Amino acid sequence: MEDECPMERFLRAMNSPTGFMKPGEKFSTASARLRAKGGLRAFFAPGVGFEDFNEGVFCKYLLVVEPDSGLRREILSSFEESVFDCYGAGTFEDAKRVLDVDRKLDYLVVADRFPQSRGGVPEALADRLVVHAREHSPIERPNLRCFGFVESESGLSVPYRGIIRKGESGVRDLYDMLIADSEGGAD
Amino acid sequence: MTASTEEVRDLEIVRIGILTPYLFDDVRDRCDEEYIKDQEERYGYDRDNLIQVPQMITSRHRVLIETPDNCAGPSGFPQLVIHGSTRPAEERVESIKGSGIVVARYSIFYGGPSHYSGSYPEDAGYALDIPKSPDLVRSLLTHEGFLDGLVSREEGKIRSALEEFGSGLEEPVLVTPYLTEALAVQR
Repeated sequence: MEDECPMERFLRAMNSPTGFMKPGEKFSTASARLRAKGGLRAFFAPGVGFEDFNEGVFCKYLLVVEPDSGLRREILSSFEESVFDCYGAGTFEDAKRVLDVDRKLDYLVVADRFPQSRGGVPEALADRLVVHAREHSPIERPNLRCFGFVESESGLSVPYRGIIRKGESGVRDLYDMLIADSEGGAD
Repeated sequence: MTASTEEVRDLEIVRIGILTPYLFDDVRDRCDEEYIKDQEERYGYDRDNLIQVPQMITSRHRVLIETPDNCAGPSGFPQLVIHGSTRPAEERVESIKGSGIVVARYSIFYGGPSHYSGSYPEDAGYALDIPKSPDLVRSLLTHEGFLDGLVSREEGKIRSALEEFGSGLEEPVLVTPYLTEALAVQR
């Protein structure tokens, strides 16, 4: 399946009523995805902790703010089989839009530098976005857990739950840290 | 518009592939009212979509609507594909970038980036961005100038048709920078 020509995959979707999602499956939350796997496998997805298991929580919302679209995609893909339902943004304004519209967030991962808006130059906006998310956005979860995914920590001053350095194993390190944090339960 | 069989035979055929269930699916037979209401309010589902529309006849064109349930048209690719922007949908569109297929995004993310991936429509391979409205799609698919542009694959014709179509609309059909690239591929 992985070697299938993209055009063949596209044609299959055109010709198959079951080739893709129906309305409602679109936000195919991590919860729905995991349940679709069947039975107890849902309970053992990466990121599901003991308290989650008891409370029936199998979906945590994660927003990744990273201006490099390839890197952002890599990060989001890495969480595909986990408890995290992922959203992405490349600029401060796009991130604000996600926060204001989707209104659900448990985890926020921010790069240290990204543009204010599309086409702009990268700036040190991580702290400003974290403050906005915690204090000014309408998200429904007050205990937002923020992580930095950075080239350099020098521009950061607000409290972060964890800081991960970009680099060869950065995406893997980020994944490991968030999964461990999520399985560790509430504060 | 009604036309005799002979008149229909003389019309230029335009094939439109619909790959978003929001335009051709009816969830009423399998989902409860609460679910449907949620879909309508949060994700723009409209019960009055194109489900009953296999084709549309204009004075110069016969517009064939092809969906996974109804894809019995001539071989080859449609002149236009209307696709959603769920995570897998976007990946599918991106996988056929460079093929020359003109894909329009039909999404609640109209006018901006996907909240799922953070990508703008042109980055993912969408050439057009359509507001989430079945009525607008119906009107668009019977606009003679737009249909002429799709058949001829002339960018100027498509752009001027959409400008005319969109005049007076609060949310017109948007052209992304990717349209130029898509049309540059000979099909």
